[in-house]
Amino acid sequence: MPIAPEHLACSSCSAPIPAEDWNREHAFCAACRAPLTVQIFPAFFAKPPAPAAGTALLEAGEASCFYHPRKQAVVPCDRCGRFLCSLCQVEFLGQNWCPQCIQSSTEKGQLAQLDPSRKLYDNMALMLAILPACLIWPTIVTAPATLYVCIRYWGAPSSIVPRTKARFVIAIALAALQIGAWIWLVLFLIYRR
Amino acid sequence: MSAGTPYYRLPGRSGLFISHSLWMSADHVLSVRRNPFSESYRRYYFTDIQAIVLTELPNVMAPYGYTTGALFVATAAALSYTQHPVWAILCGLIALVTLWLSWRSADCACYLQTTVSSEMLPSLRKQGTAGKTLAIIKAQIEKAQGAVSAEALEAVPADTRARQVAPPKSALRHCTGRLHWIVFALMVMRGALSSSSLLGVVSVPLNLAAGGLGTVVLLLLVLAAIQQRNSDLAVDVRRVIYASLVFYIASGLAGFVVSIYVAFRLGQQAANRSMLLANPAIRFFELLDLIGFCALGLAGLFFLWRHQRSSAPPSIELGTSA
Repeated sequence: MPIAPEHLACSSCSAPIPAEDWNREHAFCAACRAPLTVQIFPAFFAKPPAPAAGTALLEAGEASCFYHPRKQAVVPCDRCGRFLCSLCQVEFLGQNWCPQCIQSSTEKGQLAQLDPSRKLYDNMALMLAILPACLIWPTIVTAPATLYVCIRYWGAPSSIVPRTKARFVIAIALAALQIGAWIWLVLFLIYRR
Repeated sequence: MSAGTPYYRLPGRSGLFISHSLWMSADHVLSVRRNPFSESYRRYYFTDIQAIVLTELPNVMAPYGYTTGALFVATAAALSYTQHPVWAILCGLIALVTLWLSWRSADCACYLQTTVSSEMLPSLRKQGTAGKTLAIIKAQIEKAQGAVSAEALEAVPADTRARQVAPPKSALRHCTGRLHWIVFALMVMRGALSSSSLLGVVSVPLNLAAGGLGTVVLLLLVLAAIQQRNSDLAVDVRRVIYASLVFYIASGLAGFVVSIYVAFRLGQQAANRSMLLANPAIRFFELLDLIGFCALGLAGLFFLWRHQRSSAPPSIELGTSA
């Protein structure tokens, strides 16, 4: 039973929490007396799965893994169709994928389920529209730049949690206002003479 | 918007410029760390979560924050009454920020353990919110894994049950308390110097010495407060240092308010120093200042003496050999 009680530690003093206090409604840390709640789930007692090694080929003509020619193929990749051994088979989204497909899809940003981070271009555009406006004169450069960012990244993948395009719309409106103000100022200076 | 996994927001949020939040989907919890230009994600699948540890933390600074905020509110009201709207607004804003920060300060820490990691959930920093969120997550985990049976808990090895838990020694630093001795002694001296003006002694060098000593005391109080964090110093001593800091700030603010009030009442006569010092409000404030500094300084010296006496190693008694 892979129990590692030293890993369940009090957040206040880092002392291990004894088993008597697991899944109890009101418990106290034996070291610092801080009130705590420890909720244990069945995965805590589960053994980690043994790593698959792949079965070696027994007969000539047997289907072999695309990445390991000496290993027996057990399943095809549901994305590219390549044969995979149990070592290369990755169960993902209810399908069998090969590591190559997962890597290429991740690099292309097609798998939101695996993305570790995302750029927030809408926030960047909004900042670009608002912050330089405090000094007024930089907006002659930043207003067109804001419009460029909005148009260039309108369709780019944004946050994976629900998020509207409102920031983009506000940034476009502010940039348009700033450009309009500059045009008006230039025309005013020209026609006043 | 991303296609695919639908997420819905769980209660709890922390941070202003760098914020943390928790989102839930059908099979996992997503912890989002957002800065102004990007987001980073950590996913905890319900089938992988082994344990959740929620610890209540002592929220030491919150009462001081509330006190300071209340003092700023009182000062803002006094300034508003004495027709100083700009200062009143400034004080009001400081009060709002102080009270908001005190209200937002963490009073619990939540850790989520999987086979490969034990990660803190920074968005769960208030007990009420953490309770609500963890109830939702727990229900989903139990739907995915089932509940732990009593037999499984009973089967935990006996040596784990009988484990004698001791606090980790490395958690606390040793503090000699030398700085604290100096601070408390200087506080008593500062109080004594206040008494001179209370007795009607008007002396420029004495006032300069009192002002300089006050600055040194404030500086040393801040240093002592930093030094005593995570140290083995007695709780009473640490409390006196924090209380002195709060008293110092409160005393400064109260002095400011009293001066404005007296100047407002005296009008042109405020230029006369002896008349100013004879004012009952000023004298009452100086008396409070004297009592506060002396009482805190003496209390600190007493607690420090008691702490060092109790933590001193026992003396070696030489026995007579037979």
